[in-house]
Amino acid sequence: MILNRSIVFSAMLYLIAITAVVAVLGYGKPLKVIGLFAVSGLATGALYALGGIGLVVLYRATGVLNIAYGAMGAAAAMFAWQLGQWGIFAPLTWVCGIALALVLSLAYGRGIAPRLAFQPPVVKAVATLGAALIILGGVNFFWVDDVRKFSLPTDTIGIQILGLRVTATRLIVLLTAIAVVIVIQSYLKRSVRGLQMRSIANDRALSALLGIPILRVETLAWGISGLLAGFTGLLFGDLIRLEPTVITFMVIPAIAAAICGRLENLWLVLIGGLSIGLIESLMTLSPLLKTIRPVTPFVIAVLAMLWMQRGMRLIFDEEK
Amino acid sequence: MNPLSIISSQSASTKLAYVFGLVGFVVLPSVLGAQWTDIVTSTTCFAIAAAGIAFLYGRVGMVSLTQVGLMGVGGWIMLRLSHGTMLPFEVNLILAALGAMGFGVILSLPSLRLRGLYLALITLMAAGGFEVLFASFQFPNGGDGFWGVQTTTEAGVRRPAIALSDSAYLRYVIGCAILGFLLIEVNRRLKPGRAWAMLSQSEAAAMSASVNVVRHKIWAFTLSGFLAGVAGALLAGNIGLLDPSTFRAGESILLFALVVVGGSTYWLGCIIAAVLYRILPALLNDWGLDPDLAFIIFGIGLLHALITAPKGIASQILRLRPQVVAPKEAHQSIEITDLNVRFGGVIALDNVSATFDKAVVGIIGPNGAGKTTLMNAISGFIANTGTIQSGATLLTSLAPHKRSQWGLRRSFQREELSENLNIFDNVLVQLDADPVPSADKWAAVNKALAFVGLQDQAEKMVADLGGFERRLVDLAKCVVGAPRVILLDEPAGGMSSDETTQLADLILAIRDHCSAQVLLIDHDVDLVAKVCEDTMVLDFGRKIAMAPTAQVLKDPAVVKAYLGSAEE
Amino acid sequence: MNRLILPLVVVMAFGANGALADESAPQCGTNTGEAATGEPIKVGGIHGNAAPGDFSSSTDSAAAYFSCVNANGGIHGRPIEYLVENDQWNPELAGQAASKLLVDEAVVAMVGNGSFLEMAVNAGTYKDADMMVMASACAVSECFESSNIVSTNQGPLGSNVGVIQYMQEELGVQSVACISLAIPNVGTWSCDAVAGYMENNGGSAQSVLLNPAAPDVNSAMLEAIATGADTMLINLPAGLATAVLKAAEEQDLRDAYKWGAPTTLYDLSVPAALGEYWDGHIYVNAELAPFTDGGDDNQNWIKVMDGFANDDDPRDTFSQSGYLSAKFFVETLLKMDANDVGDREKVNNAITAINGYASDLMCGPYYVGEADFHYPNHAGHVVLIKDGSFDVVRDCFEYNSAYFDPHAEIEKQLGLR
Repeated sequence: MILNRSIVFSAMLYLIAITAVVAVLGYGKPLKVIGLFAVSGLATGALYALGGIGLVVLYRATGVLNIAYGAMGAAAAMFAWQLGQWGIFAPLTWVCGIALALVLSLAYGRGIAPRLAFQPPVVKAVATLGAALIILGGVNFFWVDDVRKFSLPTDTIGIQILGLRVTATRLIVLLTAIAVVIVIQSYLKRSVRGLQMRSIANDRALSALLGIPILRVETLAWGISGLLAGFTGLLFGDLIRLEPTVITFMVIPAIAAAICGRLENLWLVLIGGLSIGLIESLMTLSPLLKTIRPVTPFVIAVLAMLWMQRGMRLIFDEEK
Repeated sequence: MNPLSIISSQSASTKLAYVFGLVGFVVLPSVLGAQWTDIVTSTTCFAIAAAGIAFLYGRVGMVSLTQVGLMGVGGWIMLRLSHGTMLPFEVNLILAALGAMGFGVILSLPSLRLRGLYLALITLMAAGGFEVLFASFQFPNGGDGFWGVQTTTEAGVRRPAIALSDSAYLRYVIGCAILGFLLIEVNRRLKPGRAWAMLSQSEAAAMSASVNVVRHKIWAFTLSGFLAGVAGALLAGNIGLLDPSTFRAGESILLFALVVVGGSTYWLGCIIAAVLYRILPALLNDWGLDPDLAFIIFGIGLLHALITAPKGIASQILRLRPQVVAPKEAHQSIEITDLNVRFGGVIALDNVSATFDKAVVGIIGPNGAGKTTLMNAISGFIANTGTIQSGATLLTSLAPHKRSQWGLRRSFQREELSENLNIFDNVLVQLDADPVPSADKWAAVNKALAFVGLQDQAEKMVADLGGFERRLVDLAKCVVGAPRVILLDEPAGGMSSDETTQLADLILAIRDHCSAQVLLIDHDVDLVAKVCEDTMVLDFGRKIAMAPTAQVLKDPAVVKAYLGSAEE
Repeated sequence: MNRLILPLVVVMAFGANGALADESAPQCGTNTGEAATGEPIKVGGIHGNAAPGDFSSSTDSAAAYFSCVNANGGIHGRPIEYLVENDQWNPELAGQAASKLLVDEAVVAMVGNGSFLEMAVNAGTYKDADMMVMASACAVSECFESSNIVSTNQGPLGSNVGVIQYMQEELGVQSVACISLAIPNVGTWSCDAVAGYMENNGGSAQSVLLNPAAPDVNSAMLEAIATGADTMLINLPAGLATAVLKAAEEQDLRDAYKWGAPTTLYDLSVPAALGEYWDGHIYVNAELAPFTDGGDDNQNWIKVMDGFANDDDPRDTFSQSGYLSAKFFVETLLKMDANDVGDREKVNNAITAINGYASDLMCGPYYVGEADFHYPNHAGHVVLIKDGSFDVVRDCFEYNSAYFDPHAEIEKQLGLR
């Protein structure tokens, strides 16, 4: 990454802003309490980031913002839970759950997405809502409303950070998010398939003319995204709650994290997700703001987008 | 177009609209049972909101995924005023609509910097924000304080004095819906509609047609917000109270999706969207279908319609043929000095100075030489240093649409016409900003159409035109009214030799028609040689020649830089 | 409950306790054993079944009871035609359902309603139509504080006050953090009543209101800790309650606080979902008789469900309350003149006149009467989550909250006290 002045300036501004927000929200509170809420917030933020990363990986390669991402994750979590209820060996249930999300993702990517290729990106994104409804309807039909809990063995392992016990599951979320960013970035940069993905994202028609196997590359992207959706769904089911509707609509704050990276930059998605979680949690400290703290992802996403678009003009901008 | 001709135009779609409005207003409220009265009332409310996003998407090319959230704002204001004041329903309705409209204006601001998916996502974020606010503060139910919430709901919303019963209220809501649809239709057929049509095609084209892009974008969102406010307030009057679950962000996405399914450019599309959104689920529920299965059917239907009916179900129902009744009805120079344009480290134009004072001046050069960049600089689309002057007017000090109003016209390589308008309106757009009487504008449009030979096809939709006819419409736009400088960017691209000959004759006739200065870019050296008195040659952003055309074409430097490569 | 495994659980839960030992037929209506054939009496019911929750078990059990009545002589020979609508948690559908039943279908009564929002939407409609609704599964304040709705269940207010009263009296809790949804007519309403009870008894309570849109319950847990309370009252729907308790488990907070919950956690799948960690640590209110109770009505409810309901219909508190409403309704009709049972006005007058029906399912008497509020069921049980099931730790007791003073006054006037 070339460090030019603009990036350094943005980074400085970000650090100043986040310090100011933390200072304002935590003013007058003991440092221990701030630490407690900060760690809790970063744990939630890692979930937003992981969701956002999965969305961006697919969007970069196919131009589809998958609103059904959460629904695929919900199906994975419910399926894994069901297999667990039937007494199947736990790691196998996780694999089967993730496999279900993979199948759903590939089915949409191969079966439906190509038929919508002619639509503008907005309609492609909105169409995935149709898939979300189908998956959510199916999941709710098979597993009617009930109390369920999905746990991973890592829930019982934990370490104390700033007075808060952080389970291994939460650390896995953060580490996976970072690992996915590193792996995907280097894959896109170094491998032939990665180069092809970048090319398709840039111009699908031109890439086809250049002889890039579009279908194969896109299938790969849908596959990776499906695996991530399934994995994220399991973690959401564990850490948020095992309710299909809740997991399905987690996609909306995840989109907020994705916007922080302008649907392109995975590192920014990670930073955006963590910042959202941090600020959202610290807002609990303010009696005035605590009732509206779930609004944080949306406010931050809008501010981030407007900042990144500063100075742009639309005259000859391509459709984005 | 004369506003009266809206009423006199009698397309199939319009006739159907009359029938629909009449049946809705007169017949429905008196024949429906209690349950279906409720269902149709709420459907009509959502049809009003759908109309707001439909024209925003179909006509202006902008996506709002906040519409249902804005309905919530309208509903909130209605509930708050109804519980907190004794104002009559109508006053509350208007205040609610104005409140939602205010938020619509705020939402329009990102649209000045963003479009497409990015804009849609910002509006989705706004919808997410509204969802949280509604869930946090709930809807007023008769309590004290600003938020007006208490632990038990008192009586519901007061209804209008003339519509207390459910069926009278349905008639009231349908009446409001008809007014709402007419509001959009009037806007669409008059000046804002043409501006939107240009905008949705290309902002560059809109600016060069004197359209104030900022104002028209804001106006579009304003109207859309107004309709959402009306819809939300009417919905509150239907149920009596509101629940945050009605206004989730997902609902806004769904309503938008259904508008695309219905057909965003048709009034019927909004009705179809609302029917799918409210009547279909009510029917499935009434038949006792498991709501989860209904979700699945709904999702399948949505995908199927998006795949098979790209322009919406309404386009398959209506074959829309608006029969518009069209009404029967000084030598410049340009001087550029030290013009520089840079894109990052690339120098696109390097200290170019020239005076164009012959009737038609050609600009030639290899690809990437800076020809189109020069036109864009003259149009004001890109930042530059140096000056561009015509007579006493310093063009570089004017915004693009002001330059256009002054009399600067241009054509684009890919002609930027509005598919949804007919030929007459496409040309009329160019004059919308001029402060002259409409009759004069119509006369000018007819004169321009006669010039290019399209006077008999004024009512034809642009979508139905062939390539050459489109070029002619584009040319008519350039010569209509009182242009001072006309920039033609590769007008002969892709034309047959016969067509090029016709075009050459027309270009040569421009000077007699309106005494404007013409600048012409084209790769067709024969055309340039035929019509241009002077020709300037650019290479790598630098002027390498500027002289009478015949002389330029013999210049060895020009032959090397340009003609050599052209003969490959 | 999962469609795939529910029947098994039911058989295990009841079979193991010998509840199915009595093989005799269920007792319904006039118990003639002959199917009713006359002109049907139309009765309506509205439930809410869609994401995020299923409130349909009260109409399921009411329907089962009515089927049983129809198979046993009906109402003076006339069968009950039970029309059930689903509001799908959507206020518009709730309003439409009421319009359909009250106007289009012209039902004579509304029985067994179970919904999260229908009562708030339709309270005014019922009042205007002079319809006395015999609801069964209420959550919102409008159900208990309006003139034309009376329910057999307790809703969040009574249920929370009940468990807190037990914990205050038996465990000596001093300060309570009431963790609930930030919904005024559910969470705020019930937490305010808990605060009122604690203050009248020398303690205190603070509300920790959770935004329904917030995915993260950890911060809410931390906020509850910050109140300095000694007791956590998990006043939430079961799914969300499980998430909060899981967050508490993550921080190993079990032994630092005492834990209470309203009836929402009195569900057979809850102990397993919570896991061993919470075994013996959460006190839960049961607003009707425990499922395993040997009382006649409880046993009859099980038999009616087994004989006339679908196998996958839940057997939970709302199922009991739906059965109870249906049974009281049938008793009322049977006491009426045979010519009047199809007349809405007369039927509703008879319902309003109900004064002191008793059942072993309910701790106190069931009555309606003319008032701006109806809350007949304000006495209950407390159970403890134990060994994957529930242990009854306190039998029927009446809630002492000042909130119920006006109700006690009315009960005196009706001669029920």
